[in-house]
Amino acid sequence: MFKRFKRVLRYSDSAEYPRRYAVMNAFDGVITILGIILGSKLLGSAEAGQIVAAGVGALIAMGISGASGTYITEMAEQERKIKELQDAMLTNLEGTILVRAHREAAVISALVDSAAAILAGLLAITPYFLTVAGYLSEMIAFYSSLIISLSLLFILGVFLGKVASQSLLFSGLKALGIGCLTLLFLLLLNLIL
Amino acid sequence: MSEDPSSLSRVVLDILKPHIPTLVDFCKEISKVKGVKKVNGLVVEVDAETDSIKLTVEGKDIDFEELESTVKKLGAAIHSVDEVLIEG
Repeated sequence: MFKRFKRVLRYSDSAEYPRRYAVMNAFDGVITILGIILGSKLLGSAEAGQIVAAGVGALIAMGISGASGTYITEMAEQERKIKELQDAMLTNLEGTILVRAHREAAVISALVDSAAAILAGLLAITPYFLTVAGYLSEMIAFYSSLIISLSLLFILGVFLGKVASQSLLFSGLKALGIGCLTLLFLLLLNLIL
Repeated sequence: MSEDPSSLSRVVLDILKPHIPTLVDFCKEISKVKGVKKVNGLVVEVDAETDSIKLTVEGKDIDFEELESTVKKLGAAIHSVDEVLIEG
């Protein structure tokens, strides 16, 4: 299956799009969960069950919105590429492996977009599932979730650094900085409110 | 009726193909055609969207119809058949 995906992306010259969508939306998923857990801890007093419900609801919405938006956008781009190719080849390319690959690439991008946000967000909120199940206290769940979220951001930054052949530590810290900005902003709100 | 013993063992084609699939991927797909043992692809000309290549296919009893169909499936077009070798 994986070999087939690689072939589709190679034949449609779209290898970088799923990577881009994966990182962007994993970021979105983690920051969303970070916002929910920080907001409920610092600005409210939600229970673990409510945090899980809000988190899962937000992630499902992100997944559906990401998949549909990306599919529509990517399909339009791939159809444009197909038309350009047909103009260059002076022939109709319907039914060729190329056209199939272009259209499948749009589906792959949409699935990756959706899965990245949901999986990353679920990882970040896992400690709260354990709290609901009675294995962890809310305090430990909060700090664990915070550490997992910030670690995921760092790892995403390191991955981007590898892609761009830049300093892995610097890229990781840059991404971590974004998570810390979220934390700082909510702390400030807490002080004001 | 006696069986036709002749078999297509070498064919050289002038092909216009898009940049993607690459020459390597293109030749790999051609090598999967029935009867094909060796594929040699040579880029003759490159422009903004397409490559013109000289494709030499060798083997035993090459299925030419399958070869044509594979070239078409890969989004390419055969401009001419420049050389044919039939062995008895």
